[in-house]
Amino acid sequence: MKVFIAGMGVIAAPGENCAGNLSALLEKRHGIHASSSDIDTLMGDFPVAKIAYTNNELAAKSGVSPSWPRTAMLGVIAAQEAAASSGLDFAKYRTGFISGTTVGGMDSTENFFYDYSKNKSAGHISRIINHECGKISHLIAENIQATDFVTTLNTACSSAANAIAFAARMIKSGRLDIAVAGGTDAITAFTLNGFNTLLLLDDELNKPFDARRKGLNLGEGAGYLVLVSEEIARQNNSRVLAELSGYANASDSFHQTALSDEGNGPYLAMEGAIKMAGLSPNDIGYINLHGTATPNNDLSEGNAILRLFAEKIPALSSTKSFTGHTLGASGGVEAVYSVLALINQTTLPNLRFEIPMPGIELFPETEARKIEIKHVLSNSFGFGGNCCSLLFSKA
Amino acid sequence: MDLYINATSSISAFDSLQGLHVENADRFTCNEPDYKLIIDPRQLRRMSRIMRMGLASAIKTLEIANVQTPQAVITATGLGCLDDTGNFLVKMCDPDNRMMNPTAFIQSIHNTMGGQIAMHLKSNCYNNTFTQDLLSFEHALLDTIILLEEGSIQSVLLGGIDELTELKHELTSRLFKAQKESDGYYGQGEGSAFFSISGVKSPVKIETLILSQHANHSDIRDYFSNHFALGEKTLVLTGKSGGNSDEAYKLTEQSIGTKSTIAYKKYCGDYPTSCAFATWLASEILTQDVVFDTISQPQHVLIYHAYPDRPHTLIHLSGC
Amino acid sequence: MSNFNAMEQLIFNLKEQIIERLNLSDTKPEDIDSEAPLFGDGLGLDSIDALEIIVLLQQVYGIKITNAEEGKKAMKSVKTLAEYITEKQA
Repeated sequence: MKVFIAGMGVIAAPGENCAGNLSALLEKRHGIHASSSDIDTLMGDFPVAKIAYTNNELAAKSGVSPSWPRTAMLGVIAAQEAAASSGLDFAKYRTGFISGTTVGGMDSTENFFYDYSKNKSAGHISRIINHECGKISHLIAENIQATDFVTTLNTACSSAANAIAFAARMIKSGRLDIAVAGGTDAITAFTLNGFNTLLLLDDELNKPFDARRKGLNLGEGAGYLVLVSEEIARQNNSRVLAELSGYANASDSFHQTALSDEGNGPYLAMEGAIKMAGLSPNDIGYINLHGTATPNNDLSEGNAILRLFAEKIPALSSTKSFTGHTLGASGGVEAVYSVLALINQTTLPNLRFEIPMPGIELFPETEARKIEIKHVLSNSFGFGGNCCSLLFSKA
Repeated sequence: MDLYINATSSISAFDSLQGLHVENADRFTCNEPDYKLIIDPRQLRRMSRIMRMGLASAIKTLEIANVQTPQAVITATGLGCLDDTGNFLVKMCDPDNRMMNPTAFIQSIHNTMGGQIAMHLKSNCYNNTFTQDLLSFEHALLDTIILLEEGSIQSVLLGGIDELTELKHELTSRLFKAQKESDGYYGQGEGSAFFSISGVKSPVKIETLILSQHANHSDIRDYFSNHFALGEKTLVLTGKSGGNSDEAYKLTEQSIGTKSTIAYKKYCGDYPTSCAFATWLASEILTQDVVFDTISQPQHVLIYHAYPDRPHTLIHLSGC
Repeated sequence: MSNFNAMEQLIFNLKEQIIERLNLSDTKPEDIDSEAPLFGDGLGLDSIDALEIIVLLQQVYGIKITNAEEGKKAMKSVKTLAEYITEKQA
């Protein structure tokens, strides 16, 4: 049983839909702003890839209540685009919504806590009712009428990739016909300050896979795919964008916040996805890297790639040089980017790459380049050593 | 494919089947073991309660199952690592004391327990964390069932964990006041329960997991009516909390009929993954010769949850 | 003499702050040898503890360690840490 992609939607700092993101990628327009001055950050100012719209503007765009957490608003915009682009009537099928998020309704919760910290009886308690990650998915699923099965995965930065893989398994096991799957995360003071205490933020624009990289820039966004069973893909032939031909999850099991230098988890995830599709590493045309630009991630991922693709290194790039790190959403945003690369037969650029990492002779794409691509691998690795790779193939 | 619970271990407010603990408490706090006997003290230093509870019951479960490394670790948590999350948030938002620490942020993420268990086992296994508020545990169980059905994996370690913190208790109480929660509400709770699940025959069989998809929950009503004529051999554990949300159970009340029913949250309190506690309790009831409340030695236990505006869920376990 | 006392006081404060921040609940300030290594054999701290100490320096003493090598040298023992703080604050 195969699973196909019948639609997709994305919003991130470079663009607010698939077309906008694609042109930004091809024209090398990133969405990272120089300053985080509008976010309550202690000890420093950092570049952030924040989407230019306020919460009220996002609510107006998507037609939802402005009281929704920002994570839910970003998610519903991408999910609405995905649903519309599939042309499918979800009500006719068993349709689920499977989403990854790490912060959930944290932006709204923070607002409550700023009041609460001054006076324990202050703050509107209604601001915390959508705090749970699962509430975000529920709001979005109701809005796009994909309510036959709604669930949420939170495995840190691999959340959305795991959501897509789980959605495929729900379809393959005959439990759903259609699943809208991906992830969403908004920038919050919680995550920006959190990554700052971990010394993982770069105070300049990020430089994935470059010897001079110093850390990540935080981003926000959402990306969803409409996954369908083989049968629906046949009925809906004209809208099949690609096949989700493989996926695999593995634990790196090394450290709570760092990957092993040799990249055991990343290696197993990539290898597993390729094996599932019945392919060999030589078949992969392009890799959308996890490429957070932290010293540790890029070293680990780079080493894993050198080992797995020893014969022939595919074209590769980290589009986090455009979007920043969108955390739990990154696997969804980058799944959409991977399918865009496949459909348009183009590599996507890795901005600001100049010098390869010492001892790791990998040269990410610096331009959008037209090449023949049959299979694209998309990597997502998270805290707790949670690694997930997705494989997309031409349908 | 027939699936069995090979082993289980839990930390909860409920002492044992013989000695019931508390009913209608303001809060149900876990009776925690001496963790130093289970977890390396150097590791314990940084661990919050939810991590200790999770890791300890995971280790115990694997010990009982005699499994060194499971091939998958699947965890469920409705609210995640609340203590570390609250700790970081409160400090971040307090203008006089902005001493946020990295450990709290690192450990605030929902998959902290899953990652810690994998690291403890030094395993590269499949690892996933479900967080769909009240349905988190059922969804993690669903992933377990699908994984085992797929056939590439033979054993899964499954767990459900949530912690009750001072802050959560305070804010939830405030929310309940605003929502005029019923006086009958049993109280907020917490707990951790883990399971080793495989196709290897054991005394507790997982007969079915139903997640209803329809507004009238006919699949669950039919299951109650059609499969259980043997009322006296069947025990129903419901997730009633004594609160306003129990309204939702009215829809299916008739189909449960006269089967013996226990509202299990009287023993563990109300929390998102309490279904894991119920599953542990059911396994204990099916394997131990004890008289529990109204019924002795049932052969079937049905764990049933009805929440407003959410799918209803039913887990059927049988003794064999 | 007053300099010496200031250093002694700083060392004591650091020990208390390290114990509190790193949850070394069974340890008292006098149990920590000022010159013993903080990492590895001595107190047995690890990379997450190092992060905690770096953030402690930032938040309590307003000192930012940006160079990893410099950080390693400064965090050898409580004494070297106190000397580093004194030097930076001078």
